[in-house]
Amino acid sequence: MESRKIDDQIRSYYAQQRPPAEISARIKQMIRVGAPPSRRRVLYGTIAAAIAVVVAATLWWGQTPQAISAAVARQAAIGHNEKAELEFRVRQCAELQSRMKSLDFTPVEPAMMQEMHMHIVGARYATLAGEIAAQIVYVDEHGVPCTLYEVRPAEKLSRIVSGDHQVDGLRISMWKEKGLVMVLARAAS
Amino acid sequence: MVPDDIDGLLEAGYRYAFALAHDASDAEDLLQDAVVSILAAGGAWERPYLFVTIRNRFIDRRRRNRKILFLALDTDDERHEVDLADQNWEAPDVFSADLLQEALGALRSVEREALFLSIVEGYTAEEIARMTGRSRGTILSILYRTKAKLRKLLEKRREVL
Repeated sequence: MESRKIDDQIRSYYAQQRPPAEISARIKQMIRVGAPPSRRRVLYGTIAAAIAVVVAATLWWGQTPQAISAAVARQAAIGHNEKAELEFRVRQCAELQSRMKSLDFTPVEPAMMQEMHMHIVGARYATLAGEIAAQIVYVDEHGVPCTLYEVRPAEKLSRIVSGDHQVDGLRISMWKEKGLVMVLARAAS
Repeated sequence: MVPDDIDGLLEAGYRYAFALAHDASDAEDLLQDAVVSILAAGGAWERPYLFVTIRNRFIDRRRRNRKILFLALDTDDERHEVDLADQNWEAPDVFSADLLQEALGALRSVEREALFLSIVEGYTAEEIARMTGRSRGTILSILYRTKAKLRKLLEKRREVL
């Protein structure tokens, strides 16, 4: 066995450790896109969103399906733009099934995400129209994120209308699949 | 301001995270978390700042997992400074034989961190002390003992083979 100085061997060992190209690309995209909101802004945003949810929930009684869908779209857009910290980092949607135990449904991967070649990054608990939801973040092959909400079609959500909405420069798509309501927020372009 | 050599900075950050965690997946998560923190804080895209941020994220995670991190080593001991020069011994190619990976994995985080910052990044004991909040003497002790431990670990593994 050939001999070398131990320090050189340690340098060689660490030199071969590199982040996967996919991770590097995603991080560089994050840096290019810019800063997420600060914690205080997130706190104020969360309070504002909570107030909005309460107001919206109060107003929703007696609303039309179109109005409910529009309100859900606005809430999804706020959640997407907040970029709140993820509670679960995963590589496959199946991992969420064992980790998000507080949900009253089993999160699933919509067929659309595979067709669009989206990769899951992680998820957090959220609420949509007053119902507990899984807020799942995906990125495309260029590292551009989108936010998928999955929620049981209870109460008002059962009346949601499938289709697209434009909110704050975002395209919000909603549909029903595998017994759940899916709401996807992504850049409009 | 984002530096021109962002790839170099991210690679260095990943290697430092890997030195702490000794796990590729954890290193990826640590690097991503650190980048998000720097973006949120409007921090500097500089290597020492990135390293400190990664280190803080690593400590947060370990605390959450209730693991004990960075056990206290004994008090400052400056005499090791002289001995360090003898710690770069000629060794059989343990890197190619994958023995080095195993031996480094058997070290504690604090030990791998000191080795990495000193040997790979070329920081002085004084600089490592500032980055890690320890005294220079303690860093020298860690480096001395870690090298001795690494040598023993490698010798044991070679004997087994």
